[in-house]
Amino acid sequence: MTTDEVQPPEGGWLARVENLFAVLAQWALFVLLALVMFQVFTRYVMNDPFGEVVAITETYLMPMLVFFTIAALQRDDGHIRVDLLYVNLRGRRKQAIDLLVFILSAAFWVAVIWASASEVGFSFRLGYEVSKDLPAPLWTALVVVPLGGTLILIRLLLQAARTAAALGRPLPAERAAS
Amino acid sequence: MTVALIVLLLAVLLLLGMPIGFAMGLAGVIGIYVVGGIDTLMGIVAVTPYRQSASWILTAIPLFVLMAEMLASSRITSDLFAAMNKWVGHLPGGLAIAGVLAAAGLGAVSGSSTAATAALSKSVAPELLRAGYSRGLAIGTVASAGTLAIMIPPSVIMVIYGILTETSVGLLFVAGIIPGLITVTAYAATVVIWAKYVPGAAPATERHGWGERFRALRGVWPMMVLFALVIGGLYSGIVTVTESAAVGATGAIVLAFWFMRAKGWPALKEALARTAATTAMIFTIIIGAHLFGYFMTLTGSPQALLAYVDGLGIAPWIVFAVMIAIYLFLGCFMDQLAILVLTLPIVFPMIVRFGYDPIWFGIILTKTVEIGLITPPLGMNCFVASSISKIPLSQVFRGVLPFIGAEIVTIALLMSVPQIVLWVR
Repeated sequence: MTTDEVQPPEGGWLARVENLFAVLAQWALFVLLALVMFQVFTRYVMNDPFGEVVAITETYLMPMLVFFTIAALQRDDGHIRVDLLYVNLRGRRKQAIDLLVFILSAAFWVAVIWASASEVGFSFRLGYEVSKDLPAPLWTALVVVPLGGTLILIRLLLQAARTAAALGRPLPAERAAS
Repeated sequence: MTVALIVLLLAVLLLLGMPIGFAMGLAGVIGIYVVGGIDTLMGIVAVTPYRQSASWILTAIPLFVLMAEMLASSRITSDLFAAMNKWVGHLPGGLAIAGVLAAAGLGAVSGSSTAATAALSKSVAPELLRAGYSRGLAIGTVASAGTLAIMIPPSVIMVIYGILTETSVGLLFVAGIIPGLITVTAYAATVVIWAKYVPGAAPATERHGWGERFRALRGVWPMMVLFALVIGGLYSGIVTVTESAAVGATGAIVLAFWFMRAKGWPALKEALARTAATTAMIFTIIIGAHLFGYFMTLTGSPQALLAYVDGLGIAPWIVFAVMIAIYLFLGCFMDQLAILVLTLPIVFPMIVRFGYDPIWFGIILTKTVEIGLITPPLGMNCFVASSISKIPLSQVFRGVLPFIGAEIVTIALLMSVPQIVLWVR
């Protein structure tokens, strides 16, 4: 999601954190593949399924893969949208709609972070464990959602701020005319 | 009234260009708050995003995408194309038919249409143009044939349909084989007619000897083994969907390293990055769709709609035909995955209520997705083919038109003869 005059930053601390999270997600995918193959091996060759694989995969690796990638995906304009009208927008109108969309998207993520963080706190206080196969604290898995959510929220707020700033400046065509 | 307002809000958000997952999520969050209050909202939003991603069965999605990405980046498509050309090169438009068959072969080991189209646009399209095929026939063949990856199993769309509707993914995969082969035949027939009746569309053909034909198959046996492992294992019940996806992804990585040697590592790194991005994109939509689905369930609107349609006294087949027409229409303007997750919670109960088979409906729906990928103005495969081949989008859309005609004939056949699909039952 980019606006006229608004370019995604090449570097910066946020991009570095997003990239780090994205690399962690890619490792999660690779480990996921290795673990499932390991389970196939233990189940069919050794006739002894390794139950922890399912627990680790679904509890940690899949949420990491999803929530650690969404911020970088937002930065790279990778989330799918219906661009039936959007592609025809230009200039101020496009900037104004981008600003509105960034703010509304941020509002959605505030709701997700707020609710999921309360679930993390709840599970921390009650000392829940993941499962019998994996007796790790459940909050260590649940925290992936507010972590990834916070990162995309910061990205959305930054995009909103940049778009708002761009709205306050004259467009290139206006500058050329003056 | 609340439902109408929230649906209207969702439509506005989507039209504003808000990412589909966020738009459905936000509309769902507001709707749940209005209907159930803050406690219900907190209860649902606290766990839904995590639970939707923390799923063992859904791990099949990234693994099938990874398999497709790895194969698309290897030399496999070119080898398949060369082998198929030896077999069908003598037919009118033979090289283009070889492209269709190569796409079918790629589809048999890949579940992502976009990855398949990208691979075909890089390897098959330049060969067709170099051989003297018209731009329309060359690019139309490539963009259309790329859709075969989602009908011929394994298919990411079928996995998502199976999960959303609790239908057997293994049966869906096997049920997709014959419709996939019918589509291949329809595409090949389209190429033959085009090459025969449009002057200058295709060059003269070349016949290859039987020895040459069989020698060419040597390069494609690893793919046949991979297909047999993934689909055979799944259908026989020996492995689960997730396990077959993992076996497929591992096999694809091994093949890519075998074909590309040292270039395998950068290809793997790139495939992991693209797979992570695709997975996050798909799951954002699934999470948003579930939040919106909770809102719809709270209001009881799917049941109300069902009762309403029941009360109209219209014959079920008319309702079905209208539904498919709507799917085809929506496919022209919306992303296929979004259509699926948006409509299935409402449409699927209706299909079951009317007594239609979920496997058959899944295959018909996959067919509408396939068609939506090449219909203007938002045919994703056409965008991919155009951007890689540097042929203008308008020319790509003109090129796929005859293939859309072939698709319409195929879907009509599948709708009127359900046994083509239902033999798996």
